[in-house]
Amino acid sequence: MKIVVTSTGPELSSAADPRFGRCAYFIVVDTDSMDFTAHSNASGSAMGGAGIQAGQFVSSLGVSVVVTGAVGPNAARVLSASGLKVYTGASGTVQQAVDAFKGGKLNASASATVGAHNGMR
Amino acid sequence: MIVAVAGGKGGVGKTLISTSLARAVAPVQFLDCDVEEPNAQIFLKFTPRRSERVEIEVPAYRKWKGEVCEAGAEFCRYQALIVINDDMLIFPQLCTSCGGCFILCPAQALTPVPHTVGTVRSGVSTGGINMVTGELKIGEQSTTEVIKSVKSRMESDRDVLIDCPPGNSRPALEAMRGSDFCLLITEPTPFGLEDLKGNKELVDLLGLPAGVVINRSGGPYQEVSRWALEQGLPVLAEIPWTAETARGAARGRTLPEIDPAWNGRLRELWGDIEKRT
Repeated sequence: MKIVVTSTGPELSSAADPRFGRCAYFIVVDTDSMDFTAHSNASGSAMGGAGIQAGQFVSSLGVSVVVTGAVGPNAARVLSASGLKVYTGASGTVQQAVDAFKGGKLNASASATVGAHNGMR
Repeated sequence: MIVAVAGGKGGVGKTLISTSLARAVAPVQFLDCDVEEPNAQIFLKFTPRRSERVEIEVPAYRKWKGEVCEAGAEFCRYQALIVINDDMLIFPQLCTSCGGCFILCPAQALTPVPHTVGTVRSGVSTGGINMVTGELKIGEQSTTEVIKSVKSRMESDRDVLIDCPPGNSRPALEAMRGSDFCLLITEPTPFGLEDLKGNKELVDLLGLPAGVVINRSGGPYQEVSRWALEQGLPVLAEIPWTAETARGAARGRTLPEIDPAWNGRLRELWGDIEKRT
């Protein structure tokens, strides 16, 4: 299964990024082989609408699950319209976040877990 | 005469000075265009008689023959309108109402609907001051639409005072444009000077005559008046820092209420402005 994890760096050993729209990298991980590809987040410094842009980008990656710290209202709408499942509460490294997801330790979130502009703080 | 009371820096006393001027030179119309924090009514108590919504037109999408409008979504640089999974999502709070998507998309797919971005209230304050205040709704960004709506209620048969938002960007420009004179409020600090420099560029861009009022004056920092002199920008008044003024302003009192002697001084300032327009 292919999932995407928000990350502060391009490696599995990088710290998972608690923000969705304004994370530094999206890391696509194959949970079986642990093969991964890092994509830098072009909307990380967008003036506005970062969650929407990031949601559109992630929906183009061919993954079925998003693992992140928290999602805002706009991103949640885009991800849900894309049919992606969102798991929040990721912490530690990307590798640890993947393990937590595999172990069923993350929360499935159907709607926003934080307010708008949380990632700008 | 239309006088805009502006200032690059926040918290320098724009609202204290604009409301004090209104008290001293009434009858006058007062427009609170600081719509992100409209607080002139703390100084000029007023009872709103009318309250009107400020609306912008945003797109609404109806699935029509399963058709989405890629061209409109691609055009929208604010991502207020996106195509996802053969559906269109609309984020009204990001829409600037430019109308581009309506030109690019078939009318059956996108229709304009009103979206409320703020409120404009009008009424009368004591002593012959007609008030109009605008308030941007929390989470909205159409600041200039609310300012334009406040200014559309300007009366042509009396003098007008405009309390402008701080800064030198679009909202400040929108509030200042069309006035006969700009009163630039600042304070004698390096911060006050930096932000006054930006404000000066803005009034020059708009081609408006301007003068400076230094609030909380009397300290050791003299750079503001020195710079203004260099620029040929007149310093029209100084409001010395006193504990009495600070205490009164903190309690929502205008300068004439703190000390009636301000009535005369502010009328003099008004006369000075009249001569310069």
